Amino acid sequence: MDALERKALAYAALQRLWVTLDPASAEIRWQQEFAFMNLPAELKAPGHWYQHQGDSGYIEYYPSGDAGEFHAELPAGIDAASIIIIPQVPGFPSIYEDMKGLLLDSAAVQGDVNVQRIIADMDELRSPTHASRIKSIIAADGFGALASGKQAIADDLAKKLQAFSTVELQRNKVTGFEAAAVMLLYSLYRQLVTATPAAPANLIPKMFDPSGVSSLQEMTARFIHDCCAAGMGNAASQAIDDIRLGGDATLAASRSMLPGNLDPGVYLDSYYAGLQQAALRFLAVRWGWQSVLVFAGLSDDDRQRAEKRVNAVEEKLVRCETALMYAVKDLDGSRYRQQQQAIRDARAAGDEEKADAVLSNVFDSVFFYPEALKDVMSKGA
Amino acid sequence: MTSELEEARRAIASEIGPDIGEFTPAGEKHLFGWDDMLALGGVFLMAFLAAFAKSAGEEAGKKLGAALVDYIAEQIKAWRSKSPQEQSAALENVTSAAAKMAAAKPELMAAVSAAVESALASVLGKDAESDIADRISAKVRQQALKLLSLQAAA
Repeated sequence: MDALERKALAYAALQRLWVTLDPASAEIRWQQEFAFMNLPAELKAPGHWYQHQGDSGYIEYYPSGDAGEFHAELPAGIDAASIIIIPQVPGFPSIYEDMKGLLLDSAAVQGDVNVQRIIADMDELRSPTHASRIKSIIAADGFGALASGKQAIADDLAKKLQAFSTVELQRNKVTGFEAAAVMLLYSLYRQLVTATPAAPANLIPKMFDPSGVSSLQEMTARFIHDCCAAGMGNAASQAIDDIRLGGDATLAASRSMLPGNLDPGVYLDSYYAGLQQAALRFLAVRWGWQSVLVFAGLSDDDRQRAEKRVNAVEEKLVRCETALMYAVKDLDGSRYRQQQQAIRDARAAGDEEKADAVLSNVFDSVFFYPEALKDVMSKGA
Repeated sequence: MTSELEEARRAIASEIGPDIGEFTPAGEKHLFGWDDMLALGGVFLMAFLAAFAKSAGEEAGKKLGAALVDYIAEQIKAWRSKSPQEQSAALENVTSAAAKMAAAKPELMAAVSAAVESALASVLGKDAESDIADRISAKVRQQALKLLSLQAAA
C-alpha cells in the first residue's frame, strides 16, 4: 500500500468517527482521548480510575488497556483520592483540522476543486444552520409525497435513508444522527401503514411537521411522542425493535467478516465501516426509546421496558464508538502489535489467564478487530 | 476452576458480549467489561447445571414447567450475589453434581437439557429481548452438554 492509499484510509477512519454521531460529539471525545493520551506514562497503567476534568462519572481502565469501563457513581471501596483527574488540553488539533490536512495533501490526485468542495461540505455540516436545513428538506419532500399516496412516502423515505446512511454520510453532507432519524421515520412509517387498527388519518402528516423544532432528530422525537399519544405506541415499539434487530445483524455480520484476499488495511477499513452501520442503527434505537420515554402516559411496565432498552443499546453503541476511535489510533498497526506483545508477555510469564483476558477484551468486549483475527493475534502472526 | 469449565464460561461470555445490557439492571449507566461478561457467563452456566441436576434427579417431566422457571430465576439471583471465588467453587460443585446425574440417567439428557434451555430462555426473556434470550440460552445448553460429555469421557 502506498502513502496516498494510507492517507485515504486515515481520512476514512477520521471521517467515520466525525460523522457517526455528529461532529461536535466526535470532537469532544477526540479531545478527551488526546487528554488521556497526554498523561504521563506512569498514570496510564491499567487498573487506574479516571475522571475527565469538568465531567461527571468515572472510568476504570480495563486490565488489558486501550479502553475503560464507565461508572456513573464511584463504586464502594474505591478511594476518591486515588482518582486521576485528566486535565483538558487546549490547542490540540481537531478531527476537522486533521481531515482538512489530509484532504489538502491529496489535492494533486483528487483535484483542487473537488477537495475544496469536500471542505465546503465539512464546513456546512458543522455550521449552526445545517440541522435546520436538513430538517426542512425532509419535511418538504415528505409533505410533497403525502399527496401522491402511501407508496410515494415510503419510496421517498427509503431513498433518503439509503442516501443518508451511505453516500451522504461519507460526503459529510449529513450526520449519523440525521441518518438515524430517517431510519426511525422509515421504520415508523412502515409500521403505521400496516397497523391494525389503522393509525388516525391525521397522524402521518405530523411526521413531516417542521414547526417548533430545530432539527430532524427533534422532529422525529416529537413524532414518536405523537404516535404514543395517538394510541400507536405498539407500532412505535415494533418500529424501534425492527431497527435493533437490523443493528444486531449488522454488528454480527461485521464481526464475522472474513479477510478473503483483501489487503489488511482495506479489510479493517471495511470492518469499521460495518461497525459504523451498526452504530447508526443503535443510535436510532437509543433515540427512539428515549423519545418514547418522554411520553407521560406510559404504563409502568412500558416505561421499565423502554428504560431497559435504552440501557441495553447504550452498551452496544458505546462499543462501536470506542472501536471507531481505536481505528484512528491504530492506523499504523502499532496498537495491534502492542496487544500482541501483551499476550506474548503474559504467556511468557505463565499467565495464560491474562493472555486470554487481553484477547477477550479486544475481540469480545470492545471488538477492536473482527473475530477472524483472534487466532492470528493469539498465535503471534 | 478446570480449563473445560473456564472454556465453557468464556464461550458463554463471548456470546453475551455486547448484549450484556440486556441482563443488567435497567437505568444503570455502567459500561461493562469482559470480567462482568465472564461472571455473567458463569452465573448462567451454574443456573443451567443446577436446574439440570435437579430436574434429572426429580425425573424429567414431573417437575418441569413453571417450577423450573422459578428455580432458575432463584439460582441466578443467588449466584449473582456471590464473590468470584465463591462462584468458581460453586461452579465446580454443581458441574460435578450435574455430571453424576447425567451419567446415571443418560437417556434423560436430551429432554431435560431442552426443557432447562427453554426455562432459562423464559427467565432471561423477562428482561431481555426474546431473540437474545433464546440465543444465549442455546449457547449455555450447548456448552453445558459439552462439559457433561467431557466429564463422562474422563
